[in-house]
Formats: sequence, structure tokens, C-alpha cells
Amino acid sequence: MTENAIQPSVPSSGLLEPCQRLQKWLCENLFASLPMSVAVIDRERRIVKANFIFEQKFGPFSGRHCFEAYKHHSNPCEKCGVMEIFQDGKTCHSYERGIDRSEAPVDYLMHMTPIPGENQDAEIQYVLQTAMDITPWAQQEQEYRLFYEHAPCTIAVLDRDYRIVRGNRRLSALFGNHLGRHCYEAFKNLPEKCSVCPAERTFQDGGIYHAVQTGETQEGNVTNYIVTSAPLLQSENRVEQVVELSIDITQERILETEVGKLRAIQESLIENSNRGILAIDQTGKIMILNAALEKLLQRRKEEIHSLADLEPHLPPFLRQIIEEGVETCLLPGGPPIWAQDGEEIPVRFTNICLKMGQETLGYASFFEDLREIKQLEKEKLEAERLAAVGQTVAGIAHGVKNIIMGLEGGLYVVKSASKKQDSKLGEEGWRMLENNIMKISALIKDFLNFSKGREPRPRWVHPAQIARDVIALYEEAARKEGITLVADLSEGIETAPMDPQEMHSCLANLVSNAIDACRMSDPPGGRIAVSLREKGGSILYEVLDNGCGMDYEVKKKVFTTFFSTKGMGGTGLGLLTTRKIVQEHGGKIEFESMAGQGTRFTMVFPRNRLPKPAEPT
Amino acid sequence: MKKRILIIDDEPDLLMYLKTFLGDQGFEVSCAEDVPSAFQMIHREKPDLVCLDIMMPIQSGISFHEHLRRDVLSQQIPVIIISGLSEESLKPSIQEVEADGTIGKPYRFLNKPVDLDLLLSAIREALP
Repeated sequence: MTENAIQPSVPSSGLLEPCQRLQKWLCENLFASLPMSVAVIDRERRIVKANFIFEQKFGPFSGRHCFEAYKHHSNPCEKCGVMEIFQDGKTCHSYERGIDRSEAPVDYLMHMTPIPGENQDAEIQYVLQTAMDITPWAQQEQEYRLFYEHAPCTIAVLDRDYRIVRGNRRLSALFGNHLGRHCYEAFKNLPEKCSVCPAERTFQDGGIYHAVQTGETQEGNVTNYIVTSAPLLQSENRVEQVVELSIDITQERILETEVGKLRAIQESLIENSNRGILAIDQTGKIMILNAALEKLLQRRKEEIHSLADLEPHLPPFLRQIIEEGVETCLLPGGPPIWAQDGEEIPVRFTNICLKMGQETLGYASFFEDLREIKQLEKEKLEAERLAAVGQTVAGIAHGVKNIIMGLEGGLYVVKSASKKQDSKLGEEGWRMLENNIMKISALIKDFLNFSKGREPRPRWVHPAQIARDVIALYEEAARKEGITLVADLSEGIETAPMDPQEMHSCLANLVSNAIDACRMSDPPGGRIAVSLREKGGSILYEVLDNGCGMDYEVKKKVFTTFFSTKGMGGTGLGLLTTRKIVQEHGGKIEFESMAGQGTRFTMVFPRNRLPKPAEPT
Repeated sequence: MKKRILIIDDEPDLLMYLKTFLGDQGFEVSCAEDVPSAFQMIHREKPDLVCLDIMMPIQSGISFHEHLRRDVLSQQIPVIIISGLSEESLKPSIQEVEADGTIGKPYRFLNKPVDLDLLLSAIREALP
């Protein structure tokens, strides 16, 4: 105890009554024993007395003012509770923040009471201050406040009547004025308690419960949240208050729904696609095998777990492409795959890499069944052939008319010559008859050949050789007419499956027509170029002449009717036959012509449409 | 004086036939086997009537008919078209006559094989 500790008065006899002993003990020990800082302040704000706890907390008191000791200030506090008490004599208490002897902040509850003077009217000389250190609790309260207001969730405290007695700012922002309202009214706009209520269960047994709930904000927007209900205030036998923490999962729910929808759409698209779809992950495990692929292979997806199970169905090079994960691959030509029963199925195959950003997730392969397309192609070719036949019939009818006139004419001339006794005229008439009988015979034979629909007999040939053979055939005839016949053949064109006899006929027909055109031009003569090149996967034959050309009306009819090239023989079926052969080889024939300038015929044969030869390359 | 007829057709047998027949009927007949030759003969022979085929190599009879109608010297010559093609199929291509005499449709259209009586009747009507 310090020197200036307050002492009790002792009677002169030296013997104390029980209450006196108590008073003495209190005077001697209480000041020192209280578990809080105690100090006596005079009117100058000087600390005149303090206990051990005070000194331990705030350092020695002697010679220091209260503002120096508690707060390390050199001047009195602006609002000084001590001076107020000296003035009005009323007890007061306050929450203070000071600094202890080790310069650490300290929070304390300050209680100040005036120490009465010798009589009621005497001025107050001293104030008793007790300061209870609440630093740990203050810190907890600060942390609690921080969490309460800034936690990423709504916090509501409910009483047993399910009324909201306290809520944080986030709760106010979402649900508006909630204090005093029932939780089911404030959160859900319901007239009565929810059937599933975690708070109810907590009130019942004091446990912590969770639930997913759907509510309505003050704007009327739907909100989804996960609620955790925990007991907050408990008396001996029951929970008085429950705290509900709710985490908003509205956006996650929306995202979940959207993702769910997308997934459903994607699954539907994959399952209903008429292309076979196969997706494998990086380890080769099958992720997707859709209904179309099941149908193609005649297998069920449950039977196929990895690429190895697809071995009987895929040619080795396709398996390799899928296994090696070739990033992008498109094979339009129709490599075959095999169904369970061994049927060969031509497909258009595509392989792509499945990526998310830079990460490879796996590979997807698409198989388009080309059987129907190939059948349609075949039917189209056949229909075109029949149409050509049909057109030819119309063309034949046109040509036959000329022959009929020739026959009628021959007969008339013979009869007229006989009347006039003109033998020369008679000879001419007989010639006409003979000529036209031969024409009609040839025409019928050619037409029968044309309409037979002979399948080409393709074998692997050098396209350039066919061109050279045709040029060799007509070189002499052209030279005699004063026509230059030249070849412009690209080297290195690989063999192709063609019917050499038919291709020879086509090219020969075009060269022959070009020679006729050059003969009919004015002046006669000219130049014919036969060229061969390969471009974009197609073989192109071209015959270009600078002969008489064709005007618009003639060009219109070139393939649709036949017209004779006078004096050259032939039945005019040449171009129609040529077109038929080109179409049977999967190609097309086009021409450009200007009257008086020349004509260019081009035959284009895409390699992937050429007929299949019987023997290998 | 004999009326002159120019026959234009790429079929030599047809030319011989019609030349013989029309010659027997008292006409003076000249022949051309293609349109370029026909142009030369029009100006040289100055025919009173033209019998014209349509489908011929180099140039069709349609373009010849148009040229004939644009030429002041020849636009009044009646033209009888003799063709294996139907009149209907040719109508879109053959331009009609205007009041001022430009272009003009053919005098008559006859299908092959031609009926000689019809041909003669058409010629006599055109050349009264």
C-alpha cells in the first residue's frame, strides 16, 4: 500500500467493534484489492491517490494529472468528465480509450463519483475514478460489428415470435424496413410461418440447421439463399433468440438454370443430329456416342467404352487420325466405315479438337452417312441421262424431219427428172435418196447406242495419252485444211480411272467440230489448241478454236437438239453423246462461243467423282 | 418476168428439192447454204421472196431475219420460215414488226417436212 492510502480512524482505546474492524479492513484493503484501476483526482486534476492496479496499468501516479496518466496528453481533455462532477456533483460513467504504460491502446469503462466533503455544503475536493479494462471485449465487439455489417450475407436475429429484432445493413438493403416484422412477411411476403423453417428447429432444440430458401426482395425480385440458423440467446431451458445467416445464391441459381438449359439443348442437338458424333477424352475414353452413330454402326453405346471397341468399324487410317488427335481433318471423299453386319458405308469424316482456352479436353469426330447422297447422285446421273435421251428424242425428231424432206425431195427430183428426160437431174435425185436412206440408218443406230445407257468401263489411264492419241488422229486432216492443231498438255498429271474408248470419242468429237468450225470460217484455216491440266482436284480437257463460232440462237440449242454440220457426215449426235459420256464420268461440259471469233469447249472431271475402276491402281 | 426466190438452208438435199420443185412451178430459184452467203446473195440477186431455215451453223436464221428487216433495201421482202422447230418455240426469239417498218415478223411459218401445196399457196399469196 502506498504512503497516501486512506486510513480509517481508530478509537483511543485501541479496541475496535466488529463494524469498526470491518471499516478498518475496508479502508486498509478495499482500495488496493479492487480488480480495477482506482484513482482519486483533486480539483487540479492531479492524481492524489491510486491503487496498485492503476500503477500497473498506467504507471506511477505521483505528480501526474489524470489526462497525462490515462491518455498521455499534455493538456486536459476537451470534454472532461471530472470537472463536470466537481461542478455538479453527479456520478457519471463513460467509455474511454487511453494508452497504458507500455504505450498500447487500452479501452476502459470509467466510473466517476464525487467524494463528499466534511459537510453537505462544502465544495467537492476529490473525485473517485474507477477504470475497468475492457480492451479484449472492446476488440471483440469491434470485430463483431465489422462482421455483422460487412459480412457477405444477411444477418437477422429473431425472437421466439419470429419477429426480426435486429438485422444488418445488407438485410435492410434487400428487404427494406424489417425490424419488428415477422421473418416470413419480410423475406417472403407470406401471411404465416413457412412449412420448412430452420429457425423453428433451432428454437426447439438449440441446434444449428441449414436450408435452401426462396424469398422476395422489396423490389419484388425472386431471391434464392442458403440459410443457417443458430441459437443466439439462451436461457436455462430454452432458446430466446436465433440468428439467421443467409447467403444469396440467386445468381448461382440463375447460372445453374441457364447451364442446365444449354446442356439440355446441346444433348438434344447431339442426340437428334443425323450425323454420327463421337467424342473421346484425352485418355481415349468415349464421352459421347450419339444415336446416329449407333444406327450407322448397328451397335449400342453401352457396348462401346473406348476406341479399341470401334476397331472392327473404322479403317486403320481413320483410327489413327482419331487416336493421334489430329486437330482438324476433313475427308469429303467418303472413306468407308463398316457396320456390324459388314456393310460398307461411305461417310464424310471430320475430326476436330475440343478445347477450352488453351486446354485440350478431347476430340470429336463426325460421320455423315453418304449412302443416300450417293444414291441420289446415281439417280441424278440416270435422270440426266434419260433427260438427255428425252432431249435427244426431240432433237432426233428435228433431224428426222430433214431426212424425210431429203427422201421426199429425192423422190420428187427423180420423178421430175423422168418427166423432163433430164438424166443428170435423175442422178441427183437418186443420190439424194441414197444419201438420206444412209443417214436415217446411221441415225437410228447411233440413237440406239446412245439410249442404251452403257456403263463406262473405267480403268487407270494417263489422261495426257488420250489427248495425244486424238491429236495424232486429226493432225493430218487438220493440216490438209490449213488448220494448225497444237497440244498444251500439263506434265505430271497422275493416272485417273476413265473409260479410254469413251473419253477418246468425246475429245475426238470436240476436235472434229473444231475442224469443221475452222473450215467454215472466213477465211478458212485457223488454229485449234487441245489442252489438259489439273486444278482444284479436277482434270480439265479443253478444245479452243478460232473458227466461225456460234451466235446466241445456235448456242442455245447446241446440246438440246442436233443440227447437222453440212457435208461432214455424222448424225449430229456427237455433242449429245459427248455430254452423256462426260456425265457418266461424273463431270460436266461447258462452252463459250462468239460468232466469227471462235469456240472453247471445256470438260471438267472432279477426281472424287470419277467412276471406280475394277482393278487397283 | 419470173419471180425470184432465195432459199437459205444448210441441208443441200433440201435446197435441191425445193429448187427443183419451185423451178418446175415457174420460179427462178437461187440457194445459199449459210447466212454469210445469204447476205451476199440478197444484195446481188435481189430476190422477191426468201425461204429461210432457222437452225444453221455459224449464224441462225433468226439473226438473218433481223438483219433483213433492219436493212432498208430488203425489209419489204416477204420471208417464209421453214423450220423443224415449232412456231411456238421460236416466237420469243422472233421480233414483231412495228408500225414504222422496223424489224417485222415473218410472212409465214411452215414446219418441216414442208407441205409443198402449203408452200406454193403461201408464195402465191405473198407474190400476187
